[in-house]
Amino acid sequence: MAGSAVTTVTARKGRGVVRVDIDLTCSGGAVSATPIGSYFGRLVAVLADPTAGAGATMTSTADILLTDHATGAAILSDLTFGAAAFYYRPTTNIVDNAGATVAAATTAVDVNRDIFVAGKLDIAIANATTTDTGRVTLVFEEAA
Amino acid sequence: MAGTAVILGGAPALHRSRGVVRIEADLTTDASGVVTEFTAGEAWGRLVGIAYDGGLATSGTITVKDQKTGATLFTLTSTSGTKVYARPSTVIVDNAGTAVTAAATAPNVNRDIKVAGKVNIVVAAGGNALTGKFALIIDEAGLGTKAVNV
Repeated sequence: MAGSAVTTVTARKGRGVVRVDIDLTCSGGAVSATPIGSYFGRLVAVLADPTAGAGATMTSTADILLTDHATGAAILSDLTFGAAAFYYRPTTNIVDNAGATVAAATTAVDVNRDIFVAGKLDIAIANATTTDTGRVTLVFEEAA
Repeated sequence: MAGTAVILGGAPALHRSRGVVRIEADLTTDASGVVTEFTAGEAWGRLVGIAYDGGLATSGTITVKDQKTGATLFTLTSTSGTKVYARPSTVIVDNAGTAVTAAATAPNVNRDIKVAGKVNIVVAAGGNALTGKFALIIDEAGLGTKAVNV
């Protein structure tokens, strides 16, 4: 066989709706990519509190970066931590079966769909200030 | 009766849901940039995510196929060093097999790709002896938004 390929199949019994709270403490204005556990389902909510923790309030322009641990690919890249607590439901723009982004148009509606994850995830913070602290919470919907 | 039609294995293939499943492949190309087609695993549901670490050469293509028919399900063209996390879809066809063109009278023509059975992966033009990691995420539990993604 030319080249080689080793595959790993991973599945886990669903836990229903799962919440993970992540307390962040920056060093040099950043948190390096840190594993936050394994999840198998849809990412249905992101919440954050820039005032959580004993340190200085998280810089409002700090970046929240959620990545797939194995590939390093960015799942969520929010470049504004914000000055107040927030909640949102994230989605992603679909691609076609050749990997090209499907542009929204009057002829192409509903191009934003839920983000699915499967496996270990990492979180990182960038562009904060010295030892800022804050909290990020993620909610996943796994199979019941 | 003219001709024959035989169901392989003697019965329709069924599968018990495993929830959300990740099939991850560590790829190593040969000197020609090829990884010969191989069976990556089985998937029974919607292909709701792909993840790629950007390890192969620019213009390298990763093709995901249905094993039994060889039909292409999804293709990703690599840009070296660019990681990708995406939710794939496909344009629906009508009952004559013709792609439905997006129009004001036909919006939302992109739907989730469904797979059922063994899935193969093949790499072409991926660069000399390069490595890459490519993962498929399959929702076997039917967690998707109803009415839109079914």
